Amino acid sequence: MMWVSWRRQRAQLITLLGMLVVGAGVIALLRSTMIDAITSSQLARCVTQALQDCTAPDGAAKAFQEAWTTRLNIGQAVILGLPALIGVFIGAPLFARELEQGTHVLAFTQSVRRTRWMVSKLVVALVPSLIVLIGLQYLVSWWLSAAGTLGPRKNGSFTALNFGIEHVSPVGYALFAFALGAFLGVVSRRTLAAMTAGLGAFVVARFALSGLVDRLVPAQRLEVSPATNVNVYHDGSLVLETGYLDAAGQLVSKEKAGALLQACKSTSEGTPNSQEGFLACLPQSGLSKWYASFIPKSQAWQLHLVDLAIFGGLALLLLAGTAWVLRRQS
Amino acid sequence: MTAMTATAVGKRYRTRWAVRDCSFAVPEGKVVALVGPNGAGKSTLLRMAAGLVRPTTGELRTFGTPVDGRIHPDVSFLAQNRSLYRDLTVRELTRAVGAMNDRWSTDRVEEVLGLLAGVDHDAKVGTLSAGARTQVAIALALGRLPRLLLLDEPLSDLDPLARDETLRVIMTDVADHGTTVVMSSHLLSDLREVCDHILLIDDGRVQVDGDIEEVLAEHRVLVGPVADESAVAGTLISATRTERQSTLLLRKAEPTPAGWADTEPDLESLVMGYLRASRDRRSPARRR
Amino acid sequence: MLTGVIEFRIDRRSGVSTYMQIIQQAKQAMRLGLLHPGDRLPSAREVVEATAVNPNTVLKAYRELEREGLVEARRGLGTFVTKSLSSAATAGDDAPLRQELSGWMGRARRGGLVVEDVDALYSAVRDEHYPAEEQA
Repeated sequence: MMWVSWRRQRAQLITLLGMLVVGAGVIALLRSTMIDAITSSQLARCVTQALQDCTAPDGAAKAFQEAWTTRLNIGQAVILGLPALIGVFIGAPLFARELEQGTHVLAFTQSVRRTRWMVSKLVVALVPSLIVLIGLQYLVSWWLSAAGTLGPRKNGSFTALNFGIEHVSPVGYALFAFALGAFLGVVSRRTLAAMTAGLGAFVVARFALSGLVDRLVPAQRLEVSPATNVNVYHDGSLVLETGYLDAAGQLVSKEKAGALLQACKSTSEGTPNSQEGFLACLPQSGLSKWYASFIPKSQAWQLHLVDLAIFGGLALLLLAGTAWVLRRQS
Repeated sequence: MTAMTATAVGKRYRTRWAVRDCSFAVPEGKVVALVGPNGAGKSTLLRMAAGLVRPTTGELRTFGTPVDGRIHPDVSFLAQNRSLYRDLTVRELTRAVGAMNDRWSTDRVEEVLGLLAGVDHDAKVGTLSAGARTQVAIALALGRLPRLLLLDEPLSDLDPLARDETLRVIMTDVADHGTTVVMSSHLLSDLREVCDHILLIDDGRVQVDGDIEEVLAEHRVLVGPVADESAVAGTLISATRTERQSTLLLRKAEPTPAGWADTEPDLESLVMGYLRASRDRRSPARRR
Repeated sequence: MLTGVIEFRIDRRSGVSTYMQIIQQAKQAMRLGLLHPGDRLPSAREVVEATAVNPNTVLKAYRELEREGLVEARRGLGTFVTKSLSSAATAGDDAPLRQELSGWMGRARRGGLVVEDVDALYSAVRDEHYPAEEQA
């Protein structure tokens, strides 16, 4: 049965393999060109050190970023978009084309069980897709790390572009997009309808669920006096919420805190307050503590796992639905 | 042992009943002509027997086992659209279908394909003529070594030579293995010579069911004066009338009254009579 | 193994059922001395391979011949002719009646009669001598 699925999906699999090979070639070439550019502009140290700490010729870093940021972002976008492509071009036609052309009848009137037929088709389509996805993801990651803090990585792990292409997240999205396409394919029995509806539904679901993952990982909480310098904004953490607490530890509402902050910016005489005066004013007016809830960079992997669990779980539900519809299909 | 039994089988698509209240039994070893006009419900009936369509009412059994969304291991089905993987070669397709079956004989498929002139083993299925595709599909159906062959319009796209070849293959299988065959066609003439049992369907209902010779022996065609129709006794199936003459198709006719000519109908006129009667029941307004 | 000595020719446009054609041709072969007692009739498979008819019909025709006492089915071996229908009057090219008919036919042809004329004459005379009931 595997041979049947492999033979029927051969052209598609060869295309996938071609994508991987071409992708690998292009990325390797871009990466080596980029490393040459870094070396020739004497920026090598800026790859690992923050821009302000590394010694580089004036304007070299800016020129490099102008030349390379777009290319690096395209590389990221490819990985971000690949799950959608897998859903549209591999998941959606998988069963829809059979149902549309009536070739499912051939398999359904042999002794092979429908579920086994379905699973073999799924495996033969999905496993190579994931291999290509993971392969390209590693290649892009390898390229990005060569740019280090000169590239998009400087923005931290939690920006949409950086987060969506790291760790197991792309696999989760691909599973979901693929299962969504397959499910819509058996429901609509039309390849084109399944492809378009699949793309739309995937994009909507991806946006709708993007905030969910932050709420499912226990966040860390930091409470400091308003005068303290904090570095949660600079160490790559994902800051979920900030605000002020009064002396009793109660949350001060945003509007009230805003008004008090505004008030402290000027002295009782109406002149602008000094920095010390401002910071001293805050506890006196009831803003005793500043707090932040955040997810540190080191916990990003938890977010990725939760992401995989959400999208992978949805994918399993959709595949179960696909199996159910196929068993009832005539 | 019956190869196939239908008990009050009905199938509704949204609001339309494609098949309704069909009950019949196909004894093992018969070659059955499933005939009826286009849209009569022949395909739906065969697809239900193959486990592709679930009946809305009633039950179908093949070799005593209810068909429950799954084809019986001893049954092979030829779909009307032939449903083959067109981008595979004949050889690859044979391997593919073999891989989807527990009981399979590649030798049988190759033996059958060897008898068919127009099929190149290394040609892509999609490049074959419609007739050659049908022949490949029949060869694949025989590869399952079936005891019941369900063939939906097997002869519709065959030229006379291919038709003869194909019937020879099917009939040889019947001779060698006692295979039961149910073949559908909207053309009775296609099946007349090779079938010994008839199942006539119209408007989703069974109109005639039985061994052809017995069915024919049971019916009479009487031709006589219109004015004297009351003298004829028996179950009237249908009648055509001119100003003076009536032609009546009767089942279980009583002895022929004087002044009437009596003949045994041929299968064509019997089928026509039943179809006319079925039309009249559906639209009585047009009845003359 | 003895193979079948005769072959059936099924005419699909004749209006006569396959079943009747097989019976008639078997009997004719017996009458003409082509089939002798002990000869095996072609098996259903052989008939099917040659003519693409339904083997059930062939077997049914053989059963009818068996019922008439002309042949006998031997399990696993085939169907064998048990009775001769040929006589000195019908078998062989030199049978006297055949010679006479042949002479008559020759005269008809020389007299300019076409096939239809000969057939019409032949059936008319046959029906005079053999009334309808006897032919059935």
